[in-house]
Amino acid sequence: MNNIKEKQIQTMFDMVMLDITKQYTGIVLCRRDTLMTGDVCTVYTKFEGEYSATVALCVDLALMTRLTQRVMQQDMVSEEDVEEFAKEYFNIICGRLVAGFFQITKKVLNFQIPSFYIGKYFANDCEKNWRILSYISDQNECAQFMCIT
Amino acid sequence: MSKSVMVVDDSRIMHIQLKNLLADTEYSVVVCCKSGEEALKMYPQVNPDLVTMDILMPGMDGLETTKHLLDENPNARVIMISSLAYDDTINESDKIGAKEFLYKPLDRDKLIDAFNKALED
Repeated sequence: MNNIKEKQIQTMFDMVMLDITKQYTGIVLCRRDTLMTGDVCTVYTKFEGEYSATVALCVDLALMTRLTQRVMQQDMVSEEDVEEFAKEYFNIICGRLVAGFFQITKKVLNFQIPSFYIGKYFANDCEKNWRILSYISDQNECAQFMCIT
Repeated sequence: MSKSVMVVDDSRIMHIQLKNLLADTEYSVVVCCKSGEEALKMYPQVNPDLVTMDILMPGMDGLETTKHLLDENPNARVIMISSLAYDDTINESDKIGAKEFLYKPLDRDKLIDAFNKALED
């Protein structure tokens, strides 16, 4: 894939992340280089097709909980609620990404049902190429969107 | 009198979100199904005015479920809801007889608009 398309894809990933978060939850994220510290959770999936990659979203647990509360419109949310929300939220992001990817490259991508766990994303040995987009919320909570090939 | 809606989606979050979005409207979620198979069983028992159908679900997907649903219940009004934004998906939904297609995340006004249009037909 050439450099121009790579840049377009990166820009598209960024826009999708910001737009979907705002549309779905009302919470606005800003791009900022951050370090993930504290309790985090990860939701990830694999893109398959002519472009293979693992796509992961690593989010401060406090932020993911707040996003869940917003969407469910309730203050009390369980760990199960947070997990279910994280998968649905990520599913929506991935759906928009594959459509955006198709517009740029005319290539179809598929993805699997996302997986969720508490902790940071740990790559396999063969996953060498990392692209990371970092974000911060209005309450200084962090999120990182990763594309790993 | 409120109009009944059957929600078909494997995500419990979507069930809750749709109930919240439809609160204080003339539409009311009467049953939530987590799979296509469950939806096919429940539909004749509930006979809702509208069905919202997720596309990506484990087991039978939303497109296949809609085909079976409409074969067995030609008067069913199905609105496809999906995170996947390919034109092919919309065209396929149209072909099988879905009334409307909405992208996630849902917008309340667009949701009500789609429901109203589906009931006009």
